[in-house]
Amino acid sequence: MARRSGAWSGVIGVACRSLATGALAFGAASAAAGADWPEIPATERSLKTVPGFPNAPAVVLFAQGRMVFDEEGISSRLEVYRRVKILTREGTEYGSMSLGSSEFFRVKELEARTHTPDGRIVELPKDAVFKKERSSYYNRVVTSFAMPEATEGAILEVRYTAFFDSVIYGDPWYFQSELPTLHSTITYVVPPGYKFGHDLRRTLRSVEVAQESRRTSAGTEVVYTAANVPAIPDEPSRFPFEDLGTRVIFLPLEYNGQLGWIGLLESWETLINLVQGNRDYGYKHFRLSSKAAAKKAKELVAGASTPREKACAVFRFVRDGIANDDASGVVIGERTGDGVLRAGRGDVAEKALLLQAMLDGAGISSSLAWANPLNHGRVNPKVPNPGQFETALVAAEVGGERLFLDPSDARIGCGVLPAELEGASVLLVDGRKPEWVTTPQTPPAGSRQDAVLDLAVSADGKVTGSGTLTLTGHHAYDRLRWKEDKEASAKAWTEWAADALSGFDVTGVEVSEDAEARKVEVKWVMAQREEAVLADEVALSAAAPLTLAQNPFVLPPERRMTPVQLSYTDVEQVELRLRWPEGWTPGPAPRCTATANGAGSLRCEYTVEAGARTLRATRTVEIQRREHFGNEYGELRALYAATAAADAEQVVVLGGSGR
Amino acid sequence: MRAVLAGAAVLLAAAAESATILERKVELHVAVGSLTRSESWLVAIQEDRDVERWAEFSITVGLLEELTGCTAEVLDAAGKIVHSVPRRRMRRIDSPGSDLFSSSKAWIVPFPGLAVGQRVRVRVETRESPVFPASAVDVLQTAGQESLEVVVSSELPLRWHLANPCPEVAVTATEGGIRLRGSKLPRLDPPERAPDASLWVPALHIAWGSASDWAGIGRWYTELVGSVPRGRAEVAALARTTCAGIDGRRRCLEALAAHVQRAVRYEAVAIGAGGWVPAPAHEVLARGWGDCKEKSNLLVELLAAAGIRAHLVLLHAGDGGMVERELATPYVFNHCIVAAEIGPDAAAGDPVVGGLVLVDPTSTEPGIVWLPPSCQGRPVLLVDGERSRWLEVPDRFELEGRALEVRGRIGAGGELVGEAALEVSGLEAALWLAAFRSVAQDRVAVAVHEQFTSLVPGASFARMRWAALDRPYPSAWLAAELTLPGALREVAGRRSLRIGPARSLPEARLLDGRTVPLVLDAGVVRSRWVVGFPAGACRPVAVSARSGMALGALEATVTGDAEQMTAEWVTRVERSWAGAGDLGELAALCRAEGLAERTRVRLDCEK
Repeated sequence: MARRSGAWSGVIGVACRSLATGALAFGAASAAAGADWPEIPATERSLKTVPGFPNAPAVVLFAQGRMVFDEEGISSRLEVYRRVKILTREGTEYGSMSLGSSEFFRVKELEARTHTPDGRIVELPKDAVFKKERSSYYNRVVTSFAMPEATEGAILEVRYTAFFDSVIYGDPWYFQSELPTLHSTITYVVPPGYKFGHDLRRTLRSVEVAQESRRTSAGTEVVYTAANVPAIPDEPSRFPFEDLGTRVIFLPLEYNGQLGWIGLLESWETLINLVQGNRDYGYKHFRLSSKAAAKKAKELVAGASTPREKACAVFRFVRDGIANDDASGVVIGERTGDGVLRAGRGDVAEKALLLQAMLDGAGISSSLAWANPLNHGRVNPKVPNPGQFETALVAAEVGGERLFLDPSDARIGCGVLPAELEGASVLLVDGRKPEWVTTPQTPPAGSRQDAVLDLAVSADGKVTGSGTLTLTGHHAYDRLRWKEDKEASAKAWTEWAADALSGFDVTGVEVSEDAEARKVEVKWVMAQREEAVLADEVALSAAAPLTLAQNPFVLPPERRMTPVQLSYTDVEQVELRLRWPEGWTPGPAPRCTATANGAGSLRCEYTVEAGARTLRATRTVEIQRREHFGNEYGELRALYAATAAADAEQVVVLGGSGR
Repeated sequence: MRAVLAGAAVLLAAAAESATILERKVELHVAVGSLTRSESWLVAIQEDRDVERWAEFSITVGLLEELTGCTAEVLDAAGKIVHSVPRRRMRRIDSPGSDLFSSSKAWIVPFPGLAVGQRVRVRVETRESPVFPASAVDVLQTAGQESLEVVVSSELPLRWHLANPCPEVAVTATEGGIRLRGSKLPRLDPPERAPDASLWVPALHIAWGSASDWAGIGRWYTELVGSVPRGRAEVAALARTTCAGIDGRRRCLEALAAHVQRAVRYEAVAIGAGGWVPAPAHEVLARGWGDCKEKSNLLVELLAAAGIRAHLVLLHAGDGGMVERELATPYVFNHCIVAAEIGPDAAAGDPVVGGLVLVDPTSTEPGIVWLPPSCQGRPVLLVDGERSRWLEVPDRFELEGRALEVRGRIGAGGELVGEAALEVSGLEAALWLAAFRSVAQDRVAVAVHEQFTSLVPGASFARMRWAALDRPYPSAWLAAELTLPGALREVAGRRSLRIGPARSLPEARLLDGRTVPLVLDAGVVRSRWVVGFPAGACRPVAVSARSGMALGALEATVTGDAEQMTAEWVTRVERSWAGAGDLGELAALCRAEGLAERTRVRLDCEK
């Protein structure tokens, strides 16, 4: 799961960026290198299973973090200690770990050791630690290490310290993980001259987080502690971990400078002011050196007649012409617009800023929009924290309408957003005041899958005909440029149709794509295979080729722990038209329990025209809600169950005398 | 568990696919102790999506290689350079892939701003001191090639072999080397269930040096591993304590294998020659992790300390386990297991080949009876110095498979209400057993539900249960209460039952016009339905059918009366691999299963 460490260098005004720090989002505890290790209680040594989680492959016994903010913002640090016990054979996978590091979040002083079940202590040898460069861009490195003797019953201890040059650390401390946790605590050491605030979120009622403040010689310490924290369950289509994990974020609101209290993350205004920067750093610095970019924009729009055409021409240039660097976040480094243009590469924030600068050059006004994909967690508008945002969009004012542009994805058209950025709260940061807006969301009818099969039964019981599949909206986005070229796409669609229409040969597949309209249409010819022809009986799947083979939501509502987040709402319809020869008889309508509830609806129709020897069967499913909380899950489950049951039915026509 | 023994030779591949490679040229130069390689591509960007696909070009360099040069340029249609990509813009990624660490590297070459009509030219140069004097060039790429030229020059006597030749490619001998030319080469486009590309895609293999046959490969690996320190006291002590009080070599083998399988977790770290040379056994024992060759070497040493002679065994553990045997080179192997000499102590059912018991120390389920399918049905090279030799491991299909049994009664509304039980064994069972141990119970219940839904579509299930079965090979049991609406159907006075077999063979369509070998799931799949009828129901139409051939067989029987019927389908797939010569026979079997799946059990109401 992607996590960001929003470490900023410098107390104020200094830019850095949010970089993914890797998979080891654990914490740690103080204890500088060489210090004593904590005592391990006998109860942990004898622990065999976790109450309530009998199958847990491992358990976090103790996770401890200590965040020491440097008053000067030069050398803050997060000390992390974590103790894990392996409970099953599969739990040994936790014996190998990785830590992300960068020039902004420098992981050092890594130490680890294993307590074997027979009571020995084995230190992590240096030659079992491997550093892997992931990108020279901001020195992104992953440190991987293999713990010694990590067998069932072993206890693993890991500690390290991460240094960063800021008083701002935008990443949360998660008390929860995919494993149950017995004890998790984070201590924030607040330097004098600062005011801090916290954002504490409990996602499960059973999780209590205790808070305590105390004065020490180093300043004020604020401690958050949780015990017996359940694992985040692995449930289908659940909300992202970032939304589910109980966690705390601790942020500097103000600091006491020479001229009095100065706002840091006190409000969105102060935060944006920091990120906008000045001539020497931040967005202003980036924009000041963007003359070549503006000139390039003028060239690009020379042939465009409408503002939208102009905006889209510039958008396509940045989307396709500037390579993506993999850093995420909205805080930028020291690059400039012309620098990014010259380099031909930039990260999401830099590409958005370049696009904005070029739009400006083309005479189109816009604002940067800070955003976070919904599958990476929702933004809390009450907490001014740049670490909440993974990406930046551009909100362009074009012909009286606001066009959201995402130049980071080559498959995204002009003015279109991927599903995970639709319906998201985004923050416009370039106006006089920060402005929260919600991005537009495609309605269910805007993302459709429509399949039509037009088939006929011959006298010898063989079924032949044709089929079409039309995808629009997000369904189309998922399949636009599906494969590397048209030939490969046609082949993939042929295989898809053959899989979905078992017993048929599928030939003559034609695929047409319209990226701008977000539409894909597939046509094919189909003929029943020899081994599927039964001579006196035809039985066709009622919902092929869109059969829902499994209801993913079989867990009873009382057992479901997490809300559901579907990728998008949609409509899916299958229509089967069938003709048969004289002497054949159609069977009864396939069973279908029409359903309509808050989640959506299932409708089936079955009409037979005996005289014309034709029938028409349709099955339509509409998903009206993307997010399903509490009792809403039951509605979604019922809808999927009804659909899966209906889709298992067959349309039957019998011929001849048979038996 | 499949484990990678080592990285192959040079791997150079486009991250993107498509477009057309107008020219590809590969030059290899063999000298004493070194191999230099130069490879260039000229790619035409022909349509919009090529721009996206070729925005980044990935170069992967193997464990022992050094990238000595790389140029990347964008050309216009006339061949004029539009811009060059400086080396500083190429992004290096250490240790790409899933290993914890390896010394291989990837460079990502960015081509931003490409346009249709332009061309991309990349030239890469590498140098290596190969761990074994051999290399290979894959003929096909993920994009079609207008022209391919491979030039091999050698200062040493060279052996070569073109594996899986195709008409578009010709090889000629030159002074001091060979030249391969190809034109109008199609893209690499594996059909479904294709085995690993090395087994059906053309490739030029070259080798030099003195190890010219497979016995030589065995000697080479014996010596390579022989250089690893061994005989440490702690290894001997573990062997002693583990086998103390155990009667017989088989039980000692079983105990030591279980220790390596459970106490040493699989983890791969391959640095330079470390892709082939295992870490010393005592180190692997101390750290508690290792890859396949390290776990195997540890087991061999433990067995030696216990007085049981054992050997490493090299094999290809991919889908379809055949290996190209024309030219002897270790690069055809990617996995290592152990062969133990326990003579008459071996028990019936043990995987004995050539008088040796084969053990995979990376198996997730301890024991020696079960050999994972990735080690079955293939030739393996026994590494035993001068006595190194091929062994043929048969498919142990009888230990793989599933048996579904549904018992129930038809109700007044035509629904079937009863109980479904499924016994699985072998690899599938190993996955279930891991889930039983380490996955939340709710998730297991959902998985059991999904399993039954896939076997009996349209049914609803309740009260999911599961258990591990006490057998010497992985075995698991799943059960649930079942309700199948409309199980008894009547249309136009004809009654039939909506029941049928669980499929185990691929759809017959995959065999249409096929020439590429096909990978199968060897095993026995059984579906048995025992259905009671309400009063006044009809008798089932009796069925007794069998389709049998060398690859396997399908049997269907339906028996019963107006009160109860039993329908049973059994599919036996005895091999995990269907070569080109088997495809016709396989198609017939697949068609038979397809027909059986669709044919309903009919009830005869006239009598």
